[in-house]
Amino acid sequence: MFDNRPDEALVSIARSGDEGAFEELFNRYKKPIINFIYRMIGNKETAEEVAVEVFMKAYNNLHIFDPNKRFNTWLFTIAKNLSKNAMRDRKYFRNVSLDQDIQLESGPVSLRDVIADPGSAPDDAIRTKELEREAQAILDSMPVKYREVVVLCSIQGMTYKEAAEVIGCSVASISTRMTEAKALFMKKIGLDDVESKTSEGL
Amino acid sequence: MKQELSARFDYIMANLRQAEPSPSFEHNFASRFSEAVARRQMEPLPARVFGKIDHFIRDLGMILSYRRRMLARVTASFLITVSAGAYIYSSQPSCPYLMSKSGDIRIIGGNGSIYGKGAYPDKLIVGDVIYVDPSGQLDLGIPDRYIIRMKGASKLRVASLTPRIGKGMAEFELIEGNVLVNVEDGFKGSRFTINTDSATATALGTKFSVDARSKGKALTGIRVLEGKVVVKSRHHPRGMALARQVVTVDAGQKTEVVPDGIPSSPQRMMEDEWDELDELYGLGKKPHVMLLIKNTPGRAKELLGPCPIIISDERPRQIPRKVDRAMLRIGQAVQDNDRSKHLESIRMLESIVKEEPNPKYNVQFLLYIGSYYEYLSLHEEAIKVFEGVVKDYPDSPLASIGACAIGIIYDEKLGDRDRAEKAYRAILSRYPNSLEAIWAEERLGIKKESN
Repeated sequence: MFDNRPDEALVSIARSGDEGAFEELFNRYKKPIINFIYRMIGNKETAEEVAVEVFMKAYNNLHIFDPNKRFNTWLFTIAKNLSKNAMRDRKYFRNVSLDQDIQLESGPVSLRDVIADPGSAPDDAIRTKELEREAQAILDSMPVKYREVVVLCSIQGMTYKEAAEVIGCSVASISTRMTEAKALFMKKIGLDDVESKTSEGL
Repeated sequence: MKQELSARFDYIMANLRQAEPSPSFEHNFASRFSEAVARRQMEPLPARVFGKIDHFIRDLGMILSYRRRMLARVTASFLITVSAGAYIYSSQPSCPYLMSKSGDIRIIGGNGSIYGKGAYPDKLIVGDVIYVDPSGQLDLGIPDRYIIRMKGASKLRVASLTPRIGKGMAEFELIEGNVLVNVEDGFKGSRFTINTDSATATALGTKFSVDARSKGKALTGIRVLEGKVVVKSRHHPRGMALARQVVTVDAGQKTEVVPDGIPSSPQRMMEDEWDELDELYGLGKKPHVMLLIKNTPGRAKELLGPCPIIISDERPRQIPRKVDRAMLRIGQAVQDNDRSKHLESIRMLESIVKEEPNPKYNVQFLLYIGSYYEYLSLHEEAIKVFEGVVKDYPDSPLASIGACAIGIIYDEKLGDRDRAEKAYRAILSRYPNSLEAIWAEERLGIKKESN
């Protein structure tokens, strides 16, 4: 019924009292929002709880949504804020210190291998539980300002402009943070020496 | 390599396992959502209505604020564009150009270029020096603003030109020779100045001549034909601290300034000086359009003859070129004795008055058109035209001719004595001092009482 309608039209319908329109929005964004929160706070159960809060907050505040803005950036902004609240409250926070060295699990394929050597693993091997855990562990260890950029741009596939809207900073800041985040990530998986060696070789 | 790693990083991150929502998530949301919906529906009706009104106002506010922002942006862009255009346009000086010329003209450009022998610049710029051969004549200027007629053996330099909008200024330096200046209505409020070695003449909306003699005595003579001119010594006279350096010269007056001297008191021009100017500048060609009729009480009758019309070929030409074509057509119509060509000629004349009206020739053309209709025995049409003259140009010195022509047509062509009398009486009441009043009195049988 609402399949082809843009998000903003659905918001307008939902505001007039049609719950079906909001359910459609929920179905469209439930996975991206859960994944975003999950990558931000590193706990799936907690991510689902926060995601429910995100959708309820969105539903209760539909009347203040600016129809001239994009719904997805608005929803991700709510998700980002609630994720940060959750992390700040330490209510759901995991026992991983930001300063603590990461103890990487040694699975059949490591993140270092799949990033440094594209031929080391087929595409299917990337979607393994081990790699996902390893990536998440590294994300958890990164400062929030880098984590949110990586999650929004690299994992959720947002453009820098959209990410800038969600985070509330300039596109240039996103670009800078992204570069720094990648450098930090590489360092954490032990690829910084490869980089430097490669640079020297060049 | 760094870029490859970066791209590989993005690829790996984008393809990480996605967390699938658990059934409990769906269940939690469904229960929370139904609670929220129920809460909303449980709201009392007034609260819901006010809520909807509130939402509507918020939406409207957002839309309006968006529109206001858009409007502000569009308005700002428009204003910036217009201002920039106006600034660029107004910062361009109003450059005069050559209008008509005869004889040998040479121009040494302010940028060092030399023009002559048929190759001239489109416009004159500051610094250009224009030489007119002793046998030549040149008109330069900007139509509707000012025209300078340079006579033979004159040398003029463009000293300063200011922007097009606002209080403009045009300043020329007459190095030698004679110029006649006609500052027109389009330059009102702006400053027009001619400098010579000894004097500065500033026009106050006027027509004047400046004569800077280079041979013999270096003396500047200024003669004013219309309006006023302020004349000032170019240099402060020595030993004459209290001398009056500035004089205002009215129409029909003249003044002279010697180098390092003060302007002489304005004096009335003698008849021979008018004649001299007349001859020098061809002023006798006015008016531009003239009906060739004698100045007698019977001039309206003469008009219906029909009378010939004379159109001045004075330069710069202010009569539309269409007139030439109309006159040519009239000549052909007379030659062929072709009524349709006559009517076509009339239409051409009427279109000139309608499309390019000018108080200098409107009445003359209309009277001529009226007489032309009468020539073709189109009496009603002729009367209509003459009535139009009386109605639209009641203060013209030629309006009484039109009024009288109406009476004559009723009297002599249509045999309508009553209307003729009415027309004649109208002349006596509206134009009692006109020549036509004498004609009307005669026709009405009124004897003027002698004093």
